[in-house]
Amino acid sequence: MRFLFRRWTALLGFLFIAVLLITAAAAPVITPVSPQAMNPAEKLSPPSGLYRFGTDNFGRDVFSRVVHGARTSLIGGGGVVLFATALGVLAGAAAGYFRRIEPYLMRLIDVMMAFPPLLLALVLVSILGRGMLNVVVAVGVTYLTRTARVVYALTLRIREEPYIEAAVAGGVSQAAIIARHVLPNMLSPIIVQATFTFAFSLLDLAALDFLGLGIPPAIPSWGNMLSEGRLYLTRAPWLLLFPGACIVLTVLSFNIAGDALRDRLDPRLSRSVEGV
Amino acid sequence: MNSLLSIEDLRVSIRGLFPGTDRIYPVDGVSLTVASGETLGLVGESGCGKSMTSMAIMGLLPRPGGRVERGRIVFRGQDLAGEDMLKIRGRDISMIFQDPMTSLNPVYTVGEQIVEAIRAHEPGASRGETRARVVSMLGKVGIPSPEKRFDAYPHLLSGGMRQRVMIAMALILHPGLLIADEPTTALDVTIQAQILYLMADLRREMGMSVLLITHNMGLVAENADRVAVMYAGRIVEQAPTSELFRAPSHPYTRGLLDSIPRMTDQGALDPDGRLNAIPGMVPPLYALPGGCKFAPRCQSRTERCDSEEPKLFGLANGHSVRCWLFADGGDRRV
Repeated sequence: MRFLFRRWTALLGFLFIAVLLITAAAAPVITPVSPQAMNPAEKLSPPSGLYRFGTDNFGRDVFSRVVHGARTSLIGGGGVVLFATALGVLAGAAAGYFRRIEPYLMRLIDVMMAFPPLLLALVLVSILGRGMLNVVVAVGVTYLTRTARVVYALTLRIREEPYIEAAVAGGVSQAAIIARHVLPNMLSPIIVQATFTFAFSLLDLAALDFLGLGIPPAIPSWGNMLSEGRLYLTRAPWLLLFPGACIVLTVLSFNIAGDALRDRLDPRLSRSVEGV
Repeated sequence: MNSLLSIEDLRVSIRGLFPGTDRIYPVDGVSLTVASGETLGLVGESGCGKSMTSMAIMGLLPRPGGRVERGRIVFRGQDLAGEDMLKIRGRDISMIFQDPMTSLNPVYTVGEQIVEAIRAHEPGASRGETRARVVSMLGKVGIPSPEKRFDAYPHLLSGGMRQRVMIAMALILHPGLLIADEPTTALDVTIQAQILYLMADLRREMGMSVLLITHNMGLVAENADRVAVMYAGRIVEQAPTSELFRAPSHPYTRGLLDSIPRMTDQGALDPDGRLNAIPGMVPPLYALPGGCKFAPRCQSRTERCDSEEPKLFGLANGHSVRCWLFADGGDRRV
């Protein structure tokens, strides 16, 4: 039963991610109205045939803004994942392999971890200034610490594994050992970490937008929509309902997908192998 | 005798356990030879330097901190110090380890791992031909339906099967010397026997030499042509296997053999019915006694043992012993 349930939720999670990706890619095609087009006569109107998710206080189409916001959020989250994973793996593996630099590198990362992520991101944004790239870097820095910690611990464990010793004794070169033995053995934890990074960074990106320090308000994003819509919570709840639901469902889907991927990628957890 | 590997007066040092402590010498003045096609048993307790000797041969001393201080390791007439060990490891000298459960990488199939052993030395080998070689080797080490097992992940195989895979991986390039470091310690007794028979068969078939490292005297009795006993980084006794078991000479060797429990008689029991044991403990490497390293635990010790370290004295039948009792070829045992 549990197995079936896991399969079902994983299927739903991947399905939602697929729909989200297609929607974001095809945003201009599937939205009838531009996300920037204002129609003051129709402002704050509830969901209807033309405005499927209603309109906001400027009379802009909420559906169109949610769909275009998906683009912003996916690009933002993806950017954070790339940034945090690339630098985190590099830092963690370097600290685990080259013991000389470990004290400096890991203490720096500990210091960064001591700050609450959102606070650190706020500080970085105020230093770097607003803008998509700067926001991604700011949030990415807060998450690279977690990836670095995970990779550091894994490197220390894997480099002592007997199969590494066996490979060395078999004449395999250092570079081949890192590429073929050390990194593949960390792949599933890294992927799981990346999905969590994606999910949580979506929340942080939305929070920065909500606080007015994230992506400029001209670009539709789920966080910006929440920020602007909060004033009309009682009069027009759809302004918060749709972007909020999108954030929740996306975060949930990526978490579920991450778990499912981990199960699939770890051969020890796979349930059957053909022919054996 | 045509020697394949000869170690001459090897002294290995590693960094002390804590910063500021002196270097310690886990291997000190070890000389031994392994002839072509021969199995040499290297026996001793944990920490006596037997594994460190094998690591020195492979050029895999712990880094930083481990180094060869003195002596030479000569393989096929070449001093290994001047060789590119990356080319020698796995091709000319290979190794199998104690724990087959963890010596295989869990994320690759066993076939892929053996293929990697080939690729490390023959980058241009073709896929199909390599696969055929690996499958035939898996069959040779007694793995049933090798074609299927090629694609099995390590966790799907039992301990004995995994050790067979390790042997296949070590032997795929027909090395001249196989270093087997406690190859059966982690296995069930029945599987131990199978693995040892397999190794003996393959050794004969492929004409290689084996350096069998173990703490198990029984294993050596059945599988080695000659035996070297190590204690505190030194070889204390060396002899052909039958000679060693017929006339164990060093008090340490005798102590080891006396402490093996027997099913048939009370031979290994002391008058109280308890197992015989060598009194005392192995001295730590940072506080070795000045004279004979075994003196503090020895029941035949004399004043000379405390002040002066004995050298290896040669006896008849290729037997040599590091003990003052045998100075000048004499036998002053009481």
